[in-house]
Amino acid sequence: MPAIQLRNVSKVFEGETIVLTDFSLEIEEGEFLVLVGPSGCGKSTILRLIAGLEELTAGEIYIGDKMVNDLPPKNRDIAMVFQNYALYPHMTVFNNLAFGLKLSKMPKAEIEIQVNEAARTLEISDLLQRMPKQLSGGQKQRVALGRAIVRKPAAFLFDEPLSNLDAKLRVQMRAEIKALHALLKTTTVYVTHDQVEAMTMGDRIVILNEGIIQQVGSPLDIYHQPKNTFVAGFIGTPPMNLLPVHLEAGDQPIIEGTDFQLPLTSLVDKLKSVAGNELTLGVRPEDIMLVDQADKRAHFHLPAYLAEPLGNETLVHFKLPRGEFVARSNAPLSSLATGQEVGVHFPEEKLHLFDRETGRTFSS
Amino acid sequence: MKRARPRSGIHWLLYLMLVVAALSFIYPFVWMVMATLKPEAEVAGLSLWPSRFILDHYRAVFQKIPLGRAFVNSVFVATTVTALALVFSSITGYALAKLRFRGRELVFSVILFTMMLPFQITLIPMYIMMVNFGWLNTYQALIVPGMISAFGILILRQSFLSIPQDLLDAARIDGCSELRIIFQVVWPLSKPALITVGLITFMNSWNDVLWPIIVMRDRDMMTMPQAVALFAVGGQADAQMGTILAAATLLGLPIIAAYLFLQKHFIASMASSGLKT
Repeated sequence: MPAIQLRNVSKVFEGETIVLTDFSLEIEEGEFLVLVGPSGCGKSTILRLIAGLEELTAGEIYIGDKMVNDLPPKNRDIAMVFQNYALYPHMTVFNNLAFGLKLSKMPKAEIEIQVNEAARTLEISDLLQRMPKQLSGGQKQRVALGRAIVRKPAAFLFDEPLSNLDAKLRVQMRAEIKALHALLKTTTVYVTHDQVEAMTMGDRIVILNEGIIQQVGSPLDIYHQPKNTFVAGFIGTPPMNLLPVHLEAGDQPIIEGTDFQLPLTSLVDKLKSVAGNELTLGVRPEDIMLVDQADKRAHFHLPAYLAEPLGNETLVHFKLPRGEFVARSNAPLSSLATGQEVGVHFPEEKLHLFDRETGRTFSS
Repeated sequence: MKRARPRSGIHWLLYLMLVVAALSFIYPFVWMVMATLKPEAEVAGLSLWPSRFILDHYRAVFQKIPLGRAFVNSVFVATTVTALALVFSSITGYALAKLRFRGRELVFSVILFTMMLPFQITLIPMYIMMVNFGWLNTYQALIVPGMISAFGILILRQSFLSIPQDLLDAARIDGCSELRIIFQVVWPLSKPALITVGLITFMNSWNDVLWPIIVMRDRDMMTMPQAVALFAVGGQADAQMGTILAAATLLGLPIIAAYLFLQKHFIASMASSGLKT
C-alpha cells in the first residue's frame, strides 16, 4: 500500500486562484520523492495539503490507509522541515526538539532519551542548551531536521529546506539528508525548485508545471527520456537544447534546421509515429560532438559565439538564425575559443524529437 | 580611534529646546508632588521648595477617604481589565493577522472605526445595557466593557503580522491548537507590543473616572480615581488644595511605577511599531 496517496485533489485559493486540478499521486513506503518545478507550480501547496496546513477544495488524501482530509496537522503523523527553519526563537535547541513531544504528553524521561538520540544522530548534542540565534545557518537546519526526526513520524515533508544555505553548505546538507533517509528509511516528500537537488536526492522525481504533473520517474529516466519539452528544458545544467526543425519524410528522411540538415537512418522506425512535419529537436549539450572542420562527421560548421571554460570542460554557445544551442566539450581549454569555427555533429541516437505544437516526445 | 566631534551651535540649541520641552512636561507634576509636602498656605505659590516638609496632607487623605479599599478595588479592576484585554485582543489580533476567513478586512475596518468614536457617544447605550444586565454597582460593570480594545487589537495585529507563517505552521504540526500557538509561540515573541498594550490599558482603566462614577454607587466598591474625584469635588477635602493634590499624587504613583519598570519594552515597542509590516 502506498504510504501517501493524493486522489483527484483540487485546490483553489480565495475562490479564484486555481493551483491544482484533479491531481493524483502515490508515494511508496520508504520512498524519497522529490517534487520539483518552477515557482508557482503548486509543489509547496501539495506539501501543505499533505501536512494539513491547507484545506482541500476537492479530492482525498490518504496517509497509510487513513483518509486525513479532516484531520488536523498534529494527528497526521508527519513532520515538516521549513525553508527558514521555523525554530522557536524563545526556546533552547533542547526545547525546540522536545516541544512536540511535550504536547503529546510523553513522559519527561522518555523525552530526554528521544531528544538526546536525535541530537546524537545529527551531531548537535553540544548545541542543546543554545538559543537558535546563537546557531549558524547549517546548525539551524540540523536542529530543524532534529525536530522532525525526534517524533519518529510516518513521513517527512521538506519544503525547500536548503534554499537559505550557501552553495557549499547546501551540497553538504544534501548529502546529510540523503544519508539520514538511508538510515531511517522514512517516507519523504521533498519540495525544491533546484533540479540538481531533485536529481541527486530523489528515488523518484515528480516534475510539475502549473499544477500538472509533467513526468514522474527516476532521475535518470527523466534525464534521458523527457516526455515533453518542459521536462527537457527543466532538467539538466545547462538544459537540453531545443531547436525548431522541419521533417522531410520519405525513404531517406531528413531533419532540416535553419542552418543544417540531418539525414536520419536509425530513427526511421520512430518517425512512423510522428504526425506533422514541424518538430522540436532536442539534444543534450554533452551529446553534441564538436569536431575539426575537416572531420566528415560534422553536420554543419558554425563559429563559437561564446566559450565558457569551467576547468574540466568548456561550454560552447552557438547562435542560429532561429534559436541557439550549447555544447559541452571536454577539449582542452586552449583549443576552443570564442569566434572559432568548429564542426558540429548531432549523434542520431541521442536526438529527441518533440511535437512542436503539443511539446510531447516522439522518441519513446 | 574615532574622535568625538565637537558639538556645534545647532546641537546646543537643539538640546536647549529639548530641555525646555522636557521641563514643560515634568514641571507641573513635580510642582504637584512638592505642593503635597508644603504647608497649605504655601501651596498656591509657584516655587517648588517648601519652607518646611510636612506629610499632613497625606494623613488627611487616609483619614477622610477609604483609600486603602479604593486602592484594592482599583488594582483588582485595572489588573483584571488588563489581563482580559490582553487575552481577548490577542485572540482577535491573531485572527486578523494570521487566519484567512471571509470578511476579515471588513471586520478589521469596523474595529478601526470604533476607535474613532468618542466614549461619550457610547456612554448612554452602554449604561442602558448595564441597567438591563442588572450590573449596576457590580465589578462586572467596570470590567466587562474594558475587556477588549480596538487599540489593543490594532497594536497586537501589527506585531503579529511580523511573525513568520512557517513558525505557526511548525507549531500546528507539533500539536498546538490555535490558542496554544497564541500563548506559547506568539506571546513570547511579542513582549514589547504586549507590554505597550498592557500598560496603556492598565493606565486607561486606572485613570478612568467618568464610567465608574456612572455605574458605581457603593462606596466600598469605588475605584481610586472615583474616590479621589468625589473627595476633591465632594467637599470632603474642605477645599484644602494640598490634600486634594496628595490624593492625586497617590493616584498617579502605581502608573509611574509600572512605567518606570517597563519603560524599556514600552519605548522599544513604540519605536518599532512604525517599522513593522
